[in-house]
Amino acid sequence: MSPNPHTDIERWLAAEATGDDLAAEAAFGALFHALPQVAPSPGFGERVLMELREREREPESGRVPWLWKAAVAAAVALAGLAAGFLPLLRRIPVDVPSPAEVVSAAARGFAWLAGWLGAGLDVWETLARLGGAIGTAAATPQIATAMMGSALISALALYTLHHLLVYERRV
Amino acid sequence: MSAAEEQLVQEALSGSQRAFRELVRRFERPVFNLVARMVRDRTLAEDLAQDAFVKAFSRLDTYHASQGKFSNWLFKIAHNTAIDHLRRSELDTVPLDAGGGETADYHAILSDPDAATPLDRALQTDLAGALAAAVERLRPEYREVIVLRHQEGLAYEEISEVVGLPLGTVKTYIHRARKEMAALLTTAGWGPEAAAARETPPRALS
Repeated sequence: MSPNPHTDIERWLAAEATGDDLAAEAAFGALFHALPQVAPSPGFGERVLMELREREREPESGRVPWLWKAAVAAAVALAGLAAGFLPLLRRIPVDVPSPAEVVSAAARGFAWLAGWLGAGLDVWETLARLGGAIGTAAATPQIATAMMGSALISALALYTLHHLLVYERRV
Repeated sequence: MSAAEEQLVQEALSGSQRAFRELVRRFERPVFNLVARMVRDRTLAEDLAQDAFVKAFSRLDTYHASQGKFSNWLFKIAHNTAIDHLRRSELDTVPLDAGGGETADYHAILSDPDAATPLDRALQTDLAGALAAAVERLRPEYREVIVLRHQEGLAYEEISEVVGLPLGTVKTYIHRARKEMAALLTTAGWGPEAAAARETPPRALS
């Protein structure tokens, strides 16, 4: 705004009266630009940051995201199935493959794929034998349950470690 | 977006509290000013501006430099926050300058020590107050585009993106807002005729 505000406003209003849109826009812009911005009260910035920190900390205060709850529930359900229903499945006159057969088949499949791709490394045969050995060892429901339980505990430990690390980074 | 701003955004995305603080410091005034002009209530504007900042920083990872300036992205969030409130609420809000709060700010801020005379200084603050009062009389969408155009210096296309209106509509709103303010100020005695009357010395009594 110029030292004599009448100059600014007269220029603007005169341009509006004559319909000179470009001149009116320019004159009005000069006048309005000098209007001070309305400022927030002191401490506004700190309040914003405090609220951000509060919102980020909510998951660490005990609220577990629903996705993790679903994953934990699914793992528990699978462990229960392994413990309770596998013996029942064996009674059904259907050729249901055992965990050992599944693991062995998967290992043989990988070995075949490696051969087909021309990998030709002995390590694939070693892995196939290893897979077969693991499958044989996991032939009983008890061992299958123990393996699933270990997987569940590992997942929970990883989840806890992840949130601990995230919390430390943000603090 | 300037390189410094881009750097700040990247640091904020990495969790730097210093970067968050600096971004808030740079943009708190423009964002609050925009929201305050729209809702015409200082206390409410602080809550809404705070919400806008929290929303923006919560989804900072969705911002990319290819979308345009960071300030425009922030204005868009502030616009949406204020508009959502205006649509939900039908309460009449108290004008910003009720009780002399904002007018008092103008008196303190606009008094130009380089103005030629005390009268000129007084005229500056009076005119600013009159302009602010005229802005208050406009509808919210007009107020918003006027502030974005003439205080924040956004181009028409940028305003169109921020407020989510076609370019033609933005230009029409700005044009109409200016015309309405011209009519208001002329009525309030700020036109050329009024100025001429002030400058004419009173005739001496015979």
